[in-house]
Amino acid sequence: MEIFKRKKKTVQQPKAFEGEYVLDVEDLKIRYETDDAVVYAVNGIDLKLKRKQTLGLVGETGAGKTSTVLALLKLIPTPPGVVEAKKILVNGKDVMALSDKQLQQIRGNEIAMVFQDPMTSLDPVYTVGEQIAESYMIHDKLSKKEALEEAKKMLEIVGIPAERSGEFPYQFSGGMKQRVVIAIALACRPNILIADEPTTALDVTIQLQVLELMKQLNEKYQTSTIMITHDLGIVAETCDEVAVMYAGQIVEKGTLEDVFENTKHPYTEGLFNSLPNMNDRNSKLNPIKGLIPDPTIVFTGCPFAERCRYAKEKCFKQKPTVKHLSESHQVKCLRYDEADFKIERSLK
Amino acid sequence: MLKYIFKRILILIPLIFLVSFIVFALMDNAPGDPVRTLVGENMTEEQIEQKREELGFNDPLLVRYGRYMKGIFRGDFGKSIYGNKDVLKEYLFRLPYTVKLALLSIFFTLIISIPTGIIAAVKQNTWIDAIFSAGAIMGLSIPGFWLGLMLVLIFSVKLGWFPVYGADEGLKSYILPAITLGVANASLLTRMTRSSLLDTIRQDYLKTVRAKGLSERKTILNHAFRNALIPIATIAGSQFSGLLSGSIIVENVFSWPGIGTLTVTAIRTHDITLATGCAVLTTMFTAVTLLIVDVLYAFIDPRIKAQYTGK
Repeated sequence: MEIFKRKKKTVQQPKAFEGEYVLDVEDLKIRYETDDAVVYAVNGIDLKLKRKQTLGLVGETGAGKTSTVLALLKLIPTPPGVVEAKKILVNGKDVMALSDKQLQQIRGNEIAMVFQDPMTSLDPVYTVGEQIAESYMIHDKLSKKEALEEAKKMLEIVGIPAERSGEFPYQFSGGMKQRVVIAIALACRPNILIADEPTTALDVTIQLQVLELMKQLNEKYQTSTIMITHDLGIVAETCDEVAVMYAGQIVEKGTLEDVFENTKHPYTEGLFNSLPNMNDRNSKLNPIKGLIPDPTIVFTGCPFAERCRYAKEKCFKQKPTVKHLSESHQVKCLRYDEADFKIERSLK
Repeated sequence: MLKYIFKRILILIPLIFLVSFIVFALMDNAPGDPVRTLVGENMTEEQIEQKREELGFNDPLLVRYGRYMKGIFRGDFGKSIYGNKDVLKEYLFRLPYTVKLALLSIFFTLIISIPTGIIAAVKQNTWIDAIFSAGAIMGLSIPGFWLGLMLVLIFSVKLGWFPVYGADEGLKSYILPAITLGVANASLLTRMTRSSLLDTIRQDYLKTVRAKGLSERKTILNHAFRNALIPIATIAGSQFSGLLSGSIIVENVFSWPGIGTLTVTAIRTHDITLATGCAVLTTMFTAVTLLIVDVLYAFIDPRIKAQYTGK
């Protein structure tokens, strides 16, 4: 009798994958085709993520960060979305080629996501325990009872007393809800965790707690992380690598040190300089002038040229290509290596 | 929860007073004389006056109303002027016909409208959606009496599958009136299900659910539809309570021995006690049905349950 001998499945091990990169994306393009216009959200992005590493994805609202990561789970609604890529390898599997069923096996199991607003990312009519348990029922094929037990353990891990597993989302505060969302994402020990501005909607005091928690759990479960944020402070705290996105492109990418200490792209410079100066409260804020460009426009030159204070004529006419400064550091700018080009970073 | 239900039942009492008074006063001021209708034309004025006195019609309105209400709270709804039958008994005799018809009709409504509504929402802006939406508009626009007559003409008279009128042939006699009553309801509920589901389908928590790896089917049914249920239950609940008070037109078309026919007959014959009794009892039934729907909400949405239990 097979049923009676069934061993209780363990859910503690991270998924085995021995390749160097848990994530390997090449030339990712995403556009949204509506009746009125075509919105070019992501325009040719390469991303690689090593095991146990945390990559920060930085950029203004509308830079295409969320679209990029949704494509990794193939969660872009199509239509209107159109996703093209040479490859999107998650744990060595090409997401573009997988069937719906295979995708469902990957989602939540190998690659999981924490969403921006915890207030709206939990289903209001199920208990938090049930919502965490759902992952175990899908991926570890546990019975509802077993899954609820596992869910309780997971709640304890994210710092919520197990007794509260029978409560509904409306009974939790924002920070607690985000803990629940993290518990859902990490329930099945994914290799890759995508955190889409996980702390934007939270109070500053709670932000730190949530970040600490994520950091701890990532170490514990050896998860690789993509951290989407527009807070450079969070990047400095949590990330090993940084990719700066602008208008659907990665304009600068490198290790934390590369990008923070050896900034090469004028946009990255602008991001740093627009931070408020904590030491001199009388100093003026120094925002990047202009707005993020209309995503329906196809650029002939560098998309940042209009706002760039270093822009020369060629910047408007010629598309910049990816230049490698070192093995880790790359930049997409036409002028970065010219003699009269020097990034000015106010030191804070 | 029990406290909430008890409170809601207490609210029923002033409601019954209000409804009964309005109906009572309206019937009193309606043209025509119930006593004259009752005694027939061969009576002398004196005899009529005597009968009037005997039945208590000469007392002031409020006195008569008070007497009537005293009876109601003892479970005595009086006797009909015509035939001198016990009103409550008469009502309860007719009630099962209407209730059974209502149940069958709402069942028909739900099994049609919920799947079509869900499909229309999931396939939004496709030809399937367009066909279902067009069908729903058509169903809403067709007048019930016309549809009833057409159904009778085709399925009863021409094909002979169902009886032409009455409720004497068991389930067979229920089918045509149930469909007639259900078509408009089903159309409205299809549209409601579609729009309610479209509202929830865009919610962020569905992204969380999909990111967990749940199949699209289960995402829609277990999460989106579950959250879309509240407005659907509201509409279905009020449709059901509407059915319970008996559809006058459809009951008329099918000569259905239900509440609708009873009420209309009572009003037409100036039978004050029967008409008032029908109105009051129907009010009570409707209120209780709506209460049941409200209690159901608590099972659909835990936030509402928390309100009821005052947690």
